Amino acid sequence: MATITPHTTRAIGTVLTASIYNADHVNHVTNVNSLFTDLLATPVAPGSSGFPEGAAPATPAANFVRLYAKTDGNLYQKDDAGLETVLAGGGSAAVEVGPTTPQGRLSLVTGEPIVKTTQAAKTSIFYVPYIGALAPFWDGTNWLLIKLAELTLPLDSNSGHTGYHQANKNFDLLLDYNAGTPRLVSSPAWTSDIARADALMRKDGIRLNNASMVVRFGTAAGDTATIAAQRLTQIGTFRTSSTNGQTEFIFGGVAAGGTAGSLLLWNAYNRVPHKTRCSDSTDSWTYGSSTFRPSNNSPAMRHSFITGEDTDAYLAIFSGRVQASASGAAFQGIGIDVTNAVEPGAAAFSPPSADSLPVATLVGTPIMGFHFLQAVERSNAGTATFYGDFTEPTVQQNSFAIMLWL
Amino acid sequence: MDAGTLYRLLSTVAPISSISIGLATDKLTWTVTYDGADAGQIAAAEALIAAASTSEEIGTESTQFFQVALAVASSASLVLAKRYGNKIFINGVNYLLPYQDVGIANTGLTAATLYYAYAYWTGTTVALELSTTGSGTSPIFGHEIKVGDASRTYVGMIYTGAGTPGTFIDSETQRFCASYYNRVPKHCQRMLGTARSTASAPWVELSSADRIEFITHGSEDALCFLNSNPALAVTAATMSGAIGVNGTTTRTCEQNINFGGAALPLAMAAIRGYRFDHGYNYMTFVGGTTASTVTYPATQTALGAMLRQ
Repeated sequence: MATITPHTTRAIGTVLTASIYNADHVNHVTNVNSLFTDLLATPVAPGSSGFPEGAAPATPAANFVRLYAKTDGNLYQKDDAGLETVLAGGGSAAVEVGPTTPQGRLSLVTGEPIVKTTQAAKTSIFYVPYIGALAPFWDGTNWLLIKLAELTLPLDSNSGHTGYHQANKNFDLLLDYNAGTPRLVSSPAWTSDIARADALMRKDGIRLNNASMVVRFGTAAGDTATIAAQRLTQIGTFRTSSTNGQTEFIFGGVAAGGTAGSLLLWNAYNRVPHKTRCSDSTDSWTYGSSTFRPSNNSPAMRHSFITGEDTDAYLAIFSGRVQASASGAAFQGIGIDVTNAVEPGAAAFSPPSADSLPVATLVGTPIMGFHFLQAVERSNAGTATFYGDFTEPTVQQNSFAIMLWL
Repeated sequence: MDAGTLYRLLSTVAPISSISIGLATDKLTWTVTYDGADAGQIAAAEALIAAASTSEEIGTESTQFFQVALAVASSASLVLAKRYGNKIFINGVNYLLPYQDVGIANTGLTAATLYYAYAYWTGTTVALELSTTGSGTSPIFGHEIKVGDASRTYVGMIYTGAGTPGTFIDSETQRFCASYYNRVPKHCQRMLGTARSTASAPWVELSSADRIEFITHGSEDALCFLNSNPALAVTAATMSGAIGVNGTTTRTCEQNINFGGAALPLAMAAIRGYRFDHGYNYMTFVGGTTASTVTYPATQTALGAMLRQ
């Protein structure tokens, strides 16, 4: 808490003095420059006279900074050494006119900025206040910093609608200022799993739509709008599941053949680490080919995810008991976007005749878009036996887990 | 009432030719010189200041912005990029970054040296400085600054690669750029360049050529792992593997396999969280055996880590 206390009255042109201190007398307003910046950042009220343009005033007294306007229309400061600095005109001026990081998170649960439990077949996406409720919007001249309540985007499954949320497609999620009634909207579908149809650009560190974009904000046929370039603030990316108008955030699980993880919602800001794990409850199975295939030939032993940027790394670990044949070794490993190969260094080995617990580990930084990490297996020669839990799930359960930031 | 509101109200009793604002050395007294046109305006201004005599939260007035990330643009160029905004707090003031990223060349840098990166205000723009002087916490604002120089805001550190001058590097085997703000998870990985063998007792470094080098702020854990399928030439011995941290004495992911059967490879794998030291670190594969010679295959032996920079 700060207190501003007035001091004595003075004549024209002299000093009004106030003390600023905290209730506990621990000073927080500690620097004239910060005060100066705070004051300057506040716009003059409409109808006020403001600073008249004129010549530069004299150098202020020691420990003072003088503010004034000149006939070029800019605001200036002059310090006690007589140094004059223009404060208007953008560039690197010491003014607070730039954006603030969007403070919410995309979620599939209303009121919950972080998805903590599996969410399947979801038909709405929410933008939930998280570290705050503010979001920046570029109006073509200035950044507007708007306090948002939770926003909702209902997903549209109608294939007859422009920009509907077609199954197995990627979409960007953006904030539209919408003349003072902000809304959450989606971009047109990406052209492929790893390529946007509508480019984004970065302005002052915030990603906006690069060109005019047709967005969807609801499920009615007419719930679309054409938004001018640089008026949409991108806040994330999502992918639809295999059903039109639905998405999901599935953490994976234990089942015969495994329950696949599917994390199809990515936040552009305020990402947090998530892990997803799947395990095969099948006791054991055999495989006798030297060609990699999905573990237990199950595509569900995988984790799918989407990212909107290629900045963040993931970590994947696959472990499980293997009994190789007497005639050849066996491998377990991890592939990315394939079901019949492993990434270099991500194959773990069980020697011939050995009963072992190979652990494959993989790290990487994927390009933006949709990907999946697949647990795979093979036998170099002979028939190997691979184990799910071998009737002892508490001690022998195989496991395929990943961690990534979403 | 906050200071911004006070200013706005003061401006309404204008015309104002100028306002001077000062803070006494006791850091408690805020002094405003108000060049009003007449005594009535001065009185009005004073009344407004009196009205401002209420307790309040500092709130957004004390907000510090660090919407930047240190990044390698090329082997000769380091940039302070805008990330999630375009402001940086330096010595009490939030500055806008220019349209282009703030860059600095590797001119004059010495190879294999840790440099701290600082942002500062030149009077006309924000610039970067590289220094071997470390950072400390500002006693006034609480953010990281250059030791002894509050005009420098700490933004990260780099470790120079080989060459004259030293070079900037950010690769999966040499993570030599650590942003202090807005860190992202990065991966490190290296497989052995060629099969390595040793007949030494544990622990020896298999090869200094197979190191993963990186810098960290020492303030958060990294996940690191090793994979290998080593083989012994004899039976009834133990073969070992671990990640050596800055040498062979400190190890993580340690594995010791009793090799009782035929002379065949066995899987060796482990993953651990580890808090590395502030500054330069390296991980290296260390191993050894209690008898005969152990061989670690090239394509099946990997070190890796995930850390935030």
